[in-house]
Amino acid sequence: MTEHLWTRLLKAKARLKPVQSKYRVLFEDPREPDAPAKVLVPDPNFMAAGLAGGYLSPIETYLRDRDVPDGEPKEHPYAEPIGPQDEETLIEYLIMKDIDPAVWRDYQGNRTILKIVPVEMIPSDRSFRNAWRIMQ
Amino acid sequence: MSTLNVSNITDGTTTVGTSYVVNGPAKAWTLYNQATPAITNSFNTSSLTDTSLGQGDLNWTNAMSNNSYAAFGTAPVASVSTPYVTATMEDSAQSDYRTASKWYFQCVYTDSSLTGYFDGTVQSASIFGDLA
Repeated sequence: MTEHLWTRLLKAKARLKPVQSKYRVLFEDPREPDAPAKVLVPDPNFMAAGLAGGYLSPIETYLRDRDVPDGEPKEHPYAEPIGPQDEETLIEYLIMKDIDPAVWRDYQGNRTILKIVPVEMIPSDRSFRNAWRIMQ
Repeated sequence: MSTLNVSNITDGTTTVGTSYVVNGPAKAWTLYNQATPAITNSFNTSSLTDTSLGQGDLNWTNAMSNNSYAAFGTAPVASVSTPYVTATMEDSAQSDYRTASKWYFQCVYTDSSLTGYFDGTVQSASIFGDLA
């Protein structure tokens, strides 16, 4: 029987050294045109588990679970774990898992609303944080 | 892997049901710096989204069974010179502010006359409840 994802994460936490990603995901939500750009920060323990392989569930299981009503059994905790992934693949995994499909799948407009950027490109000055937009 | 299948655990004096041990611990927790932004330490967290000044969301790797779970946050002092009250709390102004896999938060300060959002350098959150 496949080990539950939460148990696998406990083991990953105990065994693996966290990995800070070199990347961030900068995105805008087309449903909130006046909102500032958002920054997705990958979790270091998640990255370590994904790079090592044998812990995370396939992204397809999360996508199918989006359609499963609350309280009904979900697929992703019981799925066979995936093998080692490279950092770029894990960032794409996080985009599909943690960002709404309205941003990464459904948007048809001309603006660039999603960019994977090196962490150095995120401004360190937060003074105008609520005015951040993705440069076109 | 070996599995112990027992109903109770005892230290010789106190006995507790294993259901307390299985159901009791935090199912996910995150220590983060929103000013950077970066995650400092965590368990069962896949990412942090910095959405604006003092606001964002946390995403869980293993989702909860539904959105009926307990969530708690802590916030650092906002100013060393002014004794503001600070808190990291659920951002219930967002639609779907809490789903089985995501929790929206806001980090705020307030005193008798001022209130606002701020980016905490040492914020944390944890959730308790039933896993999916």
